[in-house]
Amino acid sequence: VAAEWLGFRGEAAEFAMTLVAIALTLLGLRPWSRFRRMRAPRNHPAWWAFIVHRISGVALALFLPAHFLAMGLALRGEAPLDEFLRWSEQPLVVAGEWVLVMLLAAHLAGGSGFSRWSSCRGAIGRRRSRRSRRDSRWRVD
Amino acid sequence: MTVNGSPRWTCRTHVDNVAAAGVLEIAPLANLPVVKDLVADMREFFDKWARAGGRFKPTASRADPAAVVKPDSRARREADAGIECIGCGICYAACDVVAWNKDYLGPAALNRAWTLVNDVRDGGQRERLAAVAGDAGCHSCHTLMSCTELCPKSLSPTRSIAGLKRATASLVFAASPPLRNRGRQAMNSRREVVSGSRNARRRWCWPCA
Repeated sequence: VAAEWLGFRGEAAEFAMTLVAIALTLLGLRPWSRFRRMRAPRNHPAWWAFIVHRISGVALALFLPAHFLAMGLALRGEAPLDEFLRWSEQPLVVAGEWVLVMLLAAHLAGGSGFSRWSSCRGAIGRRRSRRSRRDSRWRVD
Repeated sequence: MTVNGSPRWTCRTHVDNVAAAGVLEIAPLANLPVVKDLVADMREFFDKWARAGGRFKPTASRADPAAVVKPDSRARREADAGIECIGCGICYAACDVVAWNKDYLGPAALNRAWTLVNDVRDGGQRERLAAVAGDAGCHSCHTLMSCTELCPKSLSPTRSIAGLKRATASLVFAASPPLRNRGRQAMNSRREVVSGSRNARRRWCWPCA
């Protein structure tokens, strides 16, 4: 069905999609913990969330004085600010503004820690009980 | 020890599970002074447990009846979630905040403090919360969660530290901290205010008092 939906037809496509399905199933059956053990110690969602939060935070902190300088132009009268606003309509500056919005969103996402909620919030020891059910006693790596 | 860059229990690590490329690199635990070869000096690690108020401070003597702690009470379940720490130091070695700030108490010590904060029999809560609220305490945690990822006992020190953050914040913002474990302290203060039969004391509530 997936092959047809993607526009592939014929026995070869069906065979290929079956192989993909089998591979995905085997990947799913393979214990995730094995991948976890092989990973570098910092390669996990919470650490990446921290990095995103920190880098976007530094970038936003650098932007803030520039923002205040631009706003401060209004103190010198209407003309300087209007001139700056006209300058800011350039495509590159508009693209920069989009990057800024993305940085804000990333900072919010990294700081609110959605990736950490599974173990920090919610039911007491949810993560622990889930994991300790799987390996009932001491974990053997 | 550190195995291929990750702190681990070497006694319980199967080589074929961690040696992805057939290479095994072994080093002493990070963030601790090395004594010799693969031996790290754990004194600093355990000194921080003491500094975080990791010692139980009893409120009852042996003449008193044993404290009744309901297994399904919130405080008991909170303590239960962190109580099985064996002090192996893996979280401490994995923590980047310890690497950045040598005075940081570390995940294990703070986890221990949180289990005691949830111990209704303990009488040293204010001192303990003051000890963990400093610059090197729970508020320095950036929730990197490497401790939780690598804990061989599947504990979540990050969760415990989050609990300490809430408890210490409530100390600052509330005149009467809403610690769930005040138990005995609360009962003692009630006894001073309320007189009457035991049943009357049991039904005590602040709007009525």
